[in-house]
Amino acid sequence: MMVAERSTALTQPDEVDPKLQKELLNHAGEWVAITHDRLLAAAATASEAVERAHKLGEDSPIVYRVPDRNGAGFFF
Amino acid sequence: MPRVLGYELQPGRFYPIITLTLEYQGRFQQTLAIVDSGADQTMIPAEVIAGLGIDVSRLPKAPPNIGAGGADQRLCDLEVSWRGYVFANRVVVAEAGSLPIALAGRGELFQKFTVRFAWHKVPPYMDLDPIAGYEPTAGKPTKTHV
Repeated sequence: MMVAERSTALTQPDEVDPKLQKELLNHAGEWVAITHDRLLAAAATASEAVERAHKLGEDSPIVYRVPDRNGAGFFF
Repeated sequence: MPRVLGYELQPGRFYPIITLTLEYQGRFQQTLAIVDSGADQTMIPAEVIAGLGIDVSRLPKAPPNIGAGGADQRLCDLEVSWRGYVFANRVVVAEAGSLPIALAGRGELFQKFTVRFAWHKVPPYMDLDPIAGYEPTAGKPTKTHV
């Protein structure tokens, strides 16, 4: 697994662009790997999303699962 | 005063979310976390922890009275920071499939920041004020970077 240097991981802007937030709504139920303004990968598993992001040269993507549209699997 | 706009996590529904940086033995992973005053502690999905190369099945089990992250919760010692502020060194790992997104709870984040929600505003936002004397420490340039 590729690892990121501290300097790389912490110099990325940490707020996700609102336009990207909208785009990610189309990936409900999937794990996504993103930067603050770009979707790198969407996959059924977190590990697959991370692996694909690494292959794109992003060592420390932001990874999370987009909630299902009906709220399933999401209780907040 | 760091201000963070609400994150549209579901269509038309905005959540108080920050981007956490997790560090474990020199490896980094970032993930989103809901700032959750109802959560006792910081809780991270097992799938995200696994991205750091951690074998979750080998982590110690968490006491049964902690969190809501499924039946098989674990404890993991790693550094959790937001914008360079390290606020936790141990997290609860939620069982795979039980938690889609991390939670930053009272036990750690709320001990280091005064959190004010302005969800009546459009767009909604929150302010996270570090407590007096609390400074960012993660990500400071090392001597080799200066």
